[in-house]
Amino acid sequence: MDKRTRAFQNSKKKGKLPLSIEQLKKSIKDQLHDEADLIFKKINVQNKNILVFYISYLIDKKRLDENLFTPLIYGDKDWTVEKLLAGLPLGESKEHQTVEDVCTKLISGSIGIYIESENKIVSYSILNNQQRPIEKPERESIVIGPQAAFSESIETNLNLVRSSVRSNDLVAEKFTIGSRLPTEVRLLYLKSLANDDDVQTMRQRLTDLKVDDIEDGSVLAQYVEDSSISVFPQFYLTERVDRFSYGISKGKVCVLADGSPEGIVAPTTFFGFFESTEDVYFRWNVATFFRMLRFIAMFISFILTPIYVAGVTFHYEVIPTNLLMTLGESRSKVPFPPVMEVLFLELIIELLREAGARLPTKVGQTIGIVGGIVLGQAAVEAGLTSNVLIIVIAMSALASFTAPSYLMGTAIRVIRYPLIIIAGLFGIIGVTFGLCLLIIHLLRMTSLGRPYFLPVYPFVYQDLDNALFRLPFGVSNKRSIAYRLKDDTRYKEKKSAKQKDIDDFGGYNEH
Amino acid sequence: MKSMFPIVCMFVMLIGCVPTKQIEKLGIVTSYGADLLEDGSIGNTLLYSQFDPNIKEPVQTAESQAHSYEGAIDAANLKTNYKLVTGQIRTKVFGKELAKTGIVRLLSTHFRDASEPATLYIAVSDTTAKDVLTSTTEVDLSKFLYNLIDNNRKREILPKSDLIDFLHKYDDVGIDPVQPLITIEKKRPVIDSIALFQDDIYVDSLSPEETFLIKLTTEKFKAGTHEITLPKEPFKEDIGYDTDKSDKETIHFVLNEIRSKSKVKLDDTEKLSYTVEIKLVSRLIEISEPLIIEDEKTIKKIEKHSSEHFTKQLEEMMEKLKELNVDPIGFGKIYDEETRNKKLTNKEWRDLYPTIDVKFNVKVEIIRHGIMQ
Repeated sequence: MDKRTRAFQNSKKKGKLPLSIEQLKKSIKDQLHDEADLIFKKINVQNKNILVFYISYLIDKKRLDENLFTPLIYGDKDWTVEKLLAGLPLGESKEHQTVEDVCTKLISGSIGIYIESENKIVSYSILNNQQRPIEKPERESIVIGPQAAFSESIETNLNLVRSSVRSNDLVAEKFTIGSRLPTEVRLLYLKSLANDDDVQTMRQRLTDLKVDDIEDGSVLAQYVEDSSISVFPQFYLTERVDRFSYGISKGKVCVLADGSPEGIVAPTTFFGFFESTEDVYFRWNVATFFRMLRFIAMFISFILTPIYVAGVTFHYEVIPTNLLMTLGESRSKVPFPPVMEVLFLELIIELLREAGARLPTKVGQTIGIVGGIVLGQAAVEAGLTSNVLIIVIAMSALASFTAPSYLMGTAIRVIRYPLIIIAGLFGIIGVTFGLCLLIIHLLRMTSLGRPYFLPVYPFVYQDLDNALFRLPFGVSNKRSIAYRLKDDTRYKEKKSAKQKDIDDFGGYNEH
Repeated sequence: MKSMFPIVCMFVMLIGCVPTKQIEKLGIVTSYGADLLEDGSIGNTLLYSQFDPNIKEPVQTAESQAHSYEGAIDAANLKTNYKLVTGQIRTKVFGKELAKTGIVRLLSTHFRDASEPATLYIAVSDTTAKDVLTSTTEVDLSKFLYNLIDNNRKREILPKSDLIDFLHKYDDVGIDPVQPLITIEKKRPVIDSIALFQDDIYVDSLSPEETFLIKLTTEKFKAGTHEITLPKEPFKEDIGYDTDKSDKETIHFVLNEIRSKSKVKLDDTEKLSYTVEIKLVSRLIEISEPLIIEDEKTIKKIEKHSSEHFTKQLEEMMEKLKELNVDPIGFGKIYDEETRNKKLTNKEWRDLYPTIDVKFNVKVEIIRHGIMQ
């Protein structure tokens, strides 16, 4: 422990109760470094000096007047700490032994009440929380299904989760992380379902996390995930309430952090990142089609441009003759080797995307569409790129945006670049080598200690459904077996198999 | 990280070691033709595509003189500003004179070098390969030739005739390859007949009619079409009112959706007598005369006569093949399979082949004859 930390802790130890009103005032002022909006109100009821203090912009003034001052002054009682705790029409109360304690409450929107010469301070939380209303999700939009997104307030978020997972089984363990700027973090899971090891692992990682500050839920995820070298995300970060509670109902361990609209769902497999809650809302066959489409899109996204580079630079033999003619004609006007051409165009696309994301929405849209078309056309006419490549690049860029998880989409876009370069140097052998490295990397990865490539490696036949495709609900009545949940059956297969007919309810055929 | 160091080193060292073949710098040879010259060397004709935005015609021709296929490419390379590569070659045409001296020596690169394609067609030119490959500049001849053979093979008119098949039959004892024979008609190459090879030496050609018979005995038809000509005499009583008053001796039937099965059996290994069982199921789709088909009897009659017709044709062809000492049906292979204990040599079979006795047993079945009211 260095000198400064020790000095800081010593200063905290000052201010033992009981104190006089003036002493207390001074002590609080010291603690809060002369906060300008710190209000002290001294009232005298039945010859007792009572000091009420709060930070004015943090609290709800209406409730302060109605529920505190009114009963305090007009109640005309002989106030004691016990009476304060019991006799005020306010909910969240606490007693404190030290001034430091009460100060930490003050900054999070509480008011403190001190009766002179008592050795306890009472605090009530009447926080006036400034928050934006619940909005539609913007990063993960879907067409059908619930349209609620998390906001920055953990209370609102917990409220949303609790109201979609209505079970007293839902545990929300509380952690405070950050030594300098503490943040409230909640660990949510279903007690009767979630694997105890998973819960314990996450609990351990949260408890052991010693950092000064976590900026956001996504930062917290980076602190607690398994491998920080990898480009692939290991926990699913979602702003969707339904996605979050879907995770909880599937026995996953979920984390919410205060001040962040991102919920963490763990453990997640590689294939989980291509799963959207919309897949559940759609009919199973349609959902399977879209899930497959996303896998193919992901594959196209990182393999198409490297294959183009390899084919055009080294392997003219494998290109179908008719395509070869088209490719050759469009390539013949380009002065660069294929790898430079591809990198150049990929760079343009990435610039467009980045610029589109940074600019205000209206300008951003124009940049995206007009920029794409105009620049592409201009590049072809200027003889900088071939027109076949424009299609190839556009396809792989589009495909990378189909991943429901934005983080996974960016990861796929990034791994494309090494593959392109390796394809330009060594051709298809290089691409194969790169893909092998990639697959080895993915196979070795874990998410909360669980294999990342489940259920393909290790192969779990029963889990293929819901991970790679979807089956009708009558058949798909199991939860993931590989995660070893406490209960892996959702409902009995037989019961769901037969749908009741109108004849089963009515008495039409009784006679 | 330490373990990554040698890998990274290796990569850095290897950069630039792989020779690039950027397509815009290549002259992609798509067809190759070879002819025998007077002095015994080979005259080569190459068709290649190159990608020059200033040149309108995509297909160029190059000629060279050499003693081998690879040598021909090298010699031709001196005459172009592009790097000639042969990985996309689709057709190889051999002049008749060259084919008579054997062609397999010009095909050996395809089974030695992995970057040479194995899916290409081989054809024999009725005159010279140069004539075929320079016959026209209006169409992309490489594409034309490839599709000419490919489509006819897919339509079940030509028997299997690609490189793999050729080499396979060349290497096997007791079976000889057949390949399409190309002539020029109105400045376009056309398939006239099929060339018969004794091993890799061109011997003679067979007409399209005989090609059908070869295919009938060696392969299965899945949906073939064939026109047969039968004498009119036996059908006289079934012919209805005929608007065509001219007197004709023959009647033509067209069978389509032909499905066939054939089985060659060696009945006696000593006497070398074979039975070929052919079953042909088809639909009657066209008749040149207004034949009235009212009952099974007429159909039976057509079936009987066409069976006899096929048998007769097959026997005639067999005589011709025996005379030429060419065995495209592969009787020798069956003999070799039956007599496992001694290995058949090519020479032995050439001596035995003219003495074999083949009995054909063709059964034609017409299962439908269309809806006619």
